[in-house]
Amino acid sequence: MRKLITVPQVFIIGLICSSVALAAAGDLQLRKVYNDLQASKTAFLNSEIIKQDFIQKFKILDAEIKARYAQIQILEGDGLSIEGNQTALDVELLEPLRILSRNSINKNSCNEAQHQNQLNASPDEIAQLKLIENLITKLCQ
Amino acid sequence: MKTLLVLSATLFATQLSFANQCISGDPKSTELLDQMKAASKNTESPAFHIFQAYKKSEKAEGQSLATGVCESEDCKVKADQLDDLKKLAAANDNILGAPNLLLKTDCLVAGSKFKASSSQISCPSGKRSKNFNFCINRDFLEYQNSIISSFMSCAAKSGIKTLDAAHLMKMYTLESGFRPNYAYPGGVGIGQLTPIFVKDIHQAHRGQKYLKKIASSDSAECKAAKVISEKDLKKQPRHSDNCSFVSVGDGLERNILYSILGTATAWEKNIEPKLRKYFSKYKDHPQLEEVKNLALLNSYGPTGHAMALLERLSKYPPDRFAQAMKRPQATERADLTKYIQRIEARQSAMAKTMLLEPLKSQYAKDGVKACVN
Repeated sequence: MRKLITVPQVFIIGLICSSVALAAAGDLQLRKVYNDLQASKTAFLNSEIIKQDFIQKFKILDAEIKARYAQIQILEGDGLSIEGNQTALDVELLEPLRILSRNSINKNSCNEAQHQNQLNASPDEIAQLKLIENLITKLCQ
Repeated sequence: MKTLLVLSATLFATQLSFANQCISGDPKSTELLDQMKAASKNTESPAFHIFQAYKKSEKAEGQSLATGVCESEDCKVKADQLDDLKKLAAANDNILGAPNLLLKTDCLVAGSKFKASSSQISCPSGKRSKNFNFCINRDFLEYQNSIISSFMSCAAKSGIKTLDAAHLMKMYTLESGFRPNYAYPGGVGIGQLTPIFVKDIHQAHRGQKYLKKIASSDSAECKAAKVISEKDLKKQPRHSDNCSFVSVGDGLERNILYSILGTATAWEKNIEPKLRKYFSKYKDHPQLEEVKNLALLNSYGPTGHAMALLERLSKYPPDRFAQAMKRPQATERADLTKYIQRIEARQSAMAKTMLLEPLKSQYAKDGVKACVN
């Protein structure tokens, strides 16, 4: 009975356990980065933004989201996580606001931003798209 | 010689009888077939130019002659009918001189056997009903194949990058099954075009340049597409007028042109800029074209989802990229590859249950390339 578990077996079991623990820690870290990113984005989209502050505030948010996405990509390695997929989608869904932040807010950039938001329309992201649409409308008034 | 002519007329008439049978729909509901016939004679319709280019007018003439000949019992040829048969033979010779259709009509036939739950629309009345069940026959599918071939040739001649014909066929098989009268407020016609898709083609910063390019083209390949482009640049068709995207002779043709130009816009404005470095890095990879076509197909859905997917998969080389595009890629609330998965599932069902031999075996071996002429 005592010989059932040998030294190499203990080593392999230890390696598996530590890999699982590392993976779990990685997943937790990835989830934390993702949650922080979502919190920043939601706070921005729900905040009272005025036209004069928009470009500066959006550029800060955009840089933060992209930095966190880069962190997520490192944490997920060669794989594709749900968090990474959602973040890539969020980055794309913010493109209409990026259009406004790149140019001065005028009739053309407003039309372009609104059009881009309509091109992004999808039932599964309707809440986020509506927030973006409301913000475009407010900024373009 | 006489016996040979009789045999050839009998054989041709048998094929015609098959060609004119409804593949789907009610044989009494000939609205689409009647519209096609009328449009082919209307010199102002793009259909006229397509019939001219693909020699369908001669074929139609040949068909009517042969049908007339074979109405008599046992298809016996009388001496005074020999002249007609000579005309028929000449008409067939003319068909041989026509440009090739890009797709095998048998694949369109197989694709048209799927049914959708949406209503069909009758034009020009615009009345929609789930009870409408318009007859689609082989001739009509061949005409759709001619439209695709004509507009794809025009796009190629004009240097417009879009989906290849095989992937376009995949898309239509899913969207409408080549029954161009399906319509609901969200999607209309053969390509199930949405209001925003149509609007995109008319945006100065998006697809309008393609309409202008075709409208100013002098190329013979663009004759039919030019009719639509010129007209639409003068007055943008409203999506809410569904018949503008459905009626044979104008709407069906517009629908196909817009599907092609819409994906071309997605290529130029979204896909190519996003993956420029990737395309350059893997320019010699054998699966890069497949990646491009899958990216174009996926762009037929919401742009944000399509671009996010490209962003995610661009860390993989083309073979892995293409594989991953066909597998679920979940987000918190959706799946970025849902559209491609539906396309592939439809193709798989078509290949297993609708295609006939020898095409079925060829498809099993070569995939959708088996549907390309």
